[in-house]
Amino acid sequence: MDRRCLLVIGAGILLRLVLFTAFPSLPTTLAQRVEISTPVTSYKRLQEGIYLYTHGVSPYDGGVFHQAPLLLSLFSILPPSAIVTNILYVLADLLSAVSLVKIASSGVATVTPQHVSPRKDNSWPPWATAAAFLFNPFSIATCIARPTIVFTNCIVLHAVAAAVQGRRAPAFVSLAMASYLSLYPILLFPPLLLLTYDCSKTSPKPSIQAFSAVTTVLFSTVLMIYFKLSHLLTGSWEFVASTYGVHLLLPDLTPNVGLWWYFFIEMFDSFRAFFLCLFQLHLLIYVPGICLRLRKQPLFALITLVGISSIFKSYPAVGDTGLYLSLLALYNHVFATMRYSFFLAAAVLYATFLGPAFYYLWVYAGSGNANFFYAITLVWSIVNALIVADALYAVLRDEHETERPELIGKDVVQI
Amino acid sequence: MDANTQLRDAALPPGFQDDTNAAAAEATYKNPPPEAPETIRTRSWVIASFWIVAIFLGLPLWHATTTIYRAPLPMQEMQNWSEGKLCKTEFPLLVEVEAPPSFPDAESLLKTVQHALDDANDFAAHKPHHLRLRLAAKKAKSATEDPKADKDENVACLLRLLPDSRNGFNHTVHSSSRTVDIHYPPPSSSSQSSISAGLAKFVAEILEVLFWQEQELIEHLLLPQTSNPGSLNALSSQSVDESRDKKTPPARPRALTADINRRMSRVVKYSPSYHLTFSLFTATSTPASWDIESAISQYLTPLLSALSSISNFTISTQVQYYASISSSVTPTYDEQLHAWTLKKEDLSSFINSAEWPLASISNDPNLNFILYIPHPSITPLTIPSALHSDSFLLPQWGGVTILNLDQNPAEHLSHVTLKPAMETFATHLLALLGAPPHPASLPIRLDSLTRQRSAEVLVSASSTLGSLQRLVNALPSISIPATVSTSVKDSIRHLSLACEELRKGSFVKALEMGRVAQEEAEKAFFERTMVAQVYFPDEHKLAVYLPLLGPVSVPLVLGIFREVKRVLAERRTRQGIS
Repeated sequence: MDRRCLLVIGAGILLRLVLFTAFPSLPTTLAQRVEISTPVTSYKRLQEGIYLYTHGVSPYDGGVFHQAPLLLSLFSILPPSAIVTNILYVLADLLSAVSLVKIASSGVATVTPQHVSPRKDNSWPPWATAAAFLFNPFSIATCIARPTIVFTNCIVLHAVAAAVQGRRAPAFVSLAMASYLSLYPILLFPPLLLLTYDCSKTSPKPSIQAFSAVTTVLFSTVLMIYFKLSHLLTGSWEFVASTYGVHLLLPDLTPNVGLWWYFFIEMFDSFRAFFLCLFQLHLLIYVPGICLRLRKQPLFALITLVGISSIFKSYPAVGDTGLYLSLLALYNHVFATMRYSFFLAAAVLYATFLGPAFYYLWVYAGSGNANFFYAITLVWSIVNALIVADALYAVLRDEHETERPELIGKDVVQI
Repeated sequence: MDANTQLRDAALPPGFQDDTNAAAAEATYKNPPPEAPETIRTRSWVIASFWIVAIFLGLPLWHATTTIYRAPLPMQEMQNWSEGKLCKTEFPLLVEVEAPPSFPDAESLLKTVQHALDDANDFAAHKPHHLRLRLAAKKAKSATEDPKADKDENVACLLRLLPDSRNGFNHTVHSSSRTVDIHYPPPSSSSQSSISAGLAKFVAEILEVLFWQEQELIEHLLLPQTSNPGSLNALSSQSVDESRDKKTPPARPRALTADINRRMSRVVKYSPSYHLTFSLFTATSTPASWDIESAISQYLTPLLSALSSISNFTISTQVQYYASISSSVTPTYDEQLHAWTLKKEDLSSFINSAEWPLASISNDPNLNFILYIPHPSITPLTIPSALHSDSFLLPQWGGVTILNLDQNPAEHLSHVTLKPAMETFATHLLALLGAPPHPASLPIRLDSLTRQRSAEVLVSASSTLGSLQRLVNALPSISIPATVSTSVKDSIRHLSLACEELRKGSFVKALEMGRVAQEEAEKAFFERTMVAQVYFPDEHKLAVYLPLLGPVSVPLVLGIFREVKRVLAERRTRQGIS
């Protein structure tokens, strides 16, 4: 890690500490924003759970707290002071930035065993990737509002960093932790498996079947250990229904930036179960296709799946988008081939500023209604989907140009 | 230039006529090189992966989440119940006859009476009642004093034959037991047989009189069930009334039907518990209080406890001062009677429902009993046209008694003053509950009420089951939760138990079972989740599925379509080569 990296990371941490100390009311204000905190990540609900837990009441009584039990034990051993908590969140972001630097320095984004990007010289240095995360407004807001998605993101990045170094055990122990904390990272298992396989340096290389069998066993064993620990901590299996059940069945229809809440408010009761299955399946259906198509660049398959789940999961927040955009910065060498960069950047800004305004009009001013906010979440989701699609296009074109160098610079027409 | 090119030239817009232009375009246009087989394979796999998830996960989930759950219902059995096929409602009544030891040939007397009764029954084809006579055992003598022992034996009535030389054949009905005394002139040795024949005839008549009212009523209740099962489509006794009106057989005397209808129209719908509200409405500030608690406990509680096998009662009381009767009711002074009178038309609007607080907070059906004390200026207030000059009954609602006090009324109404009013209320209550007005014996009337109510709940429960069965048949799209199935089975089980108890003659138990059966049947019929999907026709389902699934499936379908086309083309070229 060079000096520039350290400088950028130091600056990012300083910025967060300054925001925490200079604006003491900022964390509370941001924690109440529905765009940042969701029922399954909210810091306020976490505090409620900790209170119940430390007073000997089951934290899942009352249906407010929907987060994993291990988070409870982490926060209950910490001294109950705001400074310590804030520092913990800043440390998580620090670890995320370090992981990003590691991923960027490994160069997996440009050079994989099956694929070498013709644009590999255009790629940004590692410090720039770290900066894209540390100075990303979505990441900053998420860190200040302190939802627990910060830890999930940090652990996902750590898992990817371990994977690009070919360290299987840390990668999958981390991914198991991320899945345990917020369920949807389990979708990243196949691309992470491919990434680890491609990057593993053991020789001779085992066959992919043997490799994935061992990894699956490892992953599920670790996951089971987490579950058993949680069971020991809370004394019952109640937490399964109140954490993963909430992710899967969407009992809490608090508005968020996702597509689910409005849809399921309007849904006929008899079709609710069907559409819940449909929406969950919709997330799942992309996994095999993308892993197959992007077999040469598993890291990008993983990033695309992060992007897809940040749009279509049941309780998304801007923190998920922040993670996706930071990871996408690893592929800045293909940005040149993206077709709608300007439009997408403008639309992201548009949705970011109009979203809170419309929410205010609906909830506080009363001059708008739920459709205002829903419309802007639709725009936000469309923009994100377009970013995912355009980035996918850019990477596929890059891949295509390695096979057909004579087409560099030609327009692509669909036949 | 041949004809062909000429034609083509004519069809092309200017500028395309030059042949050299076309040739130049062909030169720059180059066919793309064929795709690598590996790329094609990957694409097939990608398309297949989407379809595999959709078919192997999507379809089963779609099936599992949208199938309408229909718990199995015993449909045939339900239909049979509603058509009255499974239970021939019978009310075997056991009549004990107690003859003095001096009576010569009691056995043969009984036989004669039984014959007479059976003959009468044969005329009216399907009467549910069967009177059966039995000679009382000697020990039964002591049992007559204890009404409870009576009940255990399920004796409907005890006839005591008593020789009485004074005034020929006559009978007295005891008001507080099931005993009926029959007096007959003591036989002289010469006319032994004629006395016996006369007595037999008399006893048969007495028994007919005792039970005919109830018989008619119950027959009435059961009639729609046996005569036309198809028309049974409602649960309330009201509609049973209606359908019965239409189907009264012509043989039945009109006056009798009218009488039964009149009585039935008063009766409140059966419920296992009722709420009784006793209200004192006084037009002035006096009397200020009443001794209602002790009055109820003295005059009403015995009746209520006797009724407890049929229904339970809760009681509340209230006193309201300066309560004026409705402004539309104006009493007129009658010089002859020296009293203020109310016309019959006034009675229906007597209750000042706008101002009198008579709304009940109880969930049970409410019966109101109002003691009204008129203003001194219109005292005494009477109703000369009515049966009782100071009270009247409001069908299905309650009773009103007018209490005329002297000019300087006491501040407090003692329970002695309340006694006549309470007795009137008791009569009203029995009438509202549907007890027959005859005979004079209260236990016999209550027994009769029990039988009547059991018939009612049986009819109601079985017709509810029938309605549910027809509903389920008519609407194949409604879901049937498991709770409905268990309720129906419970209801049927209790129906057959009730039927069995009826046959055994233990009517209290039959009522109990029938009550459960009715409750369960209604619970099943009114299950809320059942009708949720009734108003959801199939074209609406299309509107639910299509907006989301339509766009999603377009790329999937196109993908597979293109793949199929490619495979076909490949096969064709391969065939062409070979």
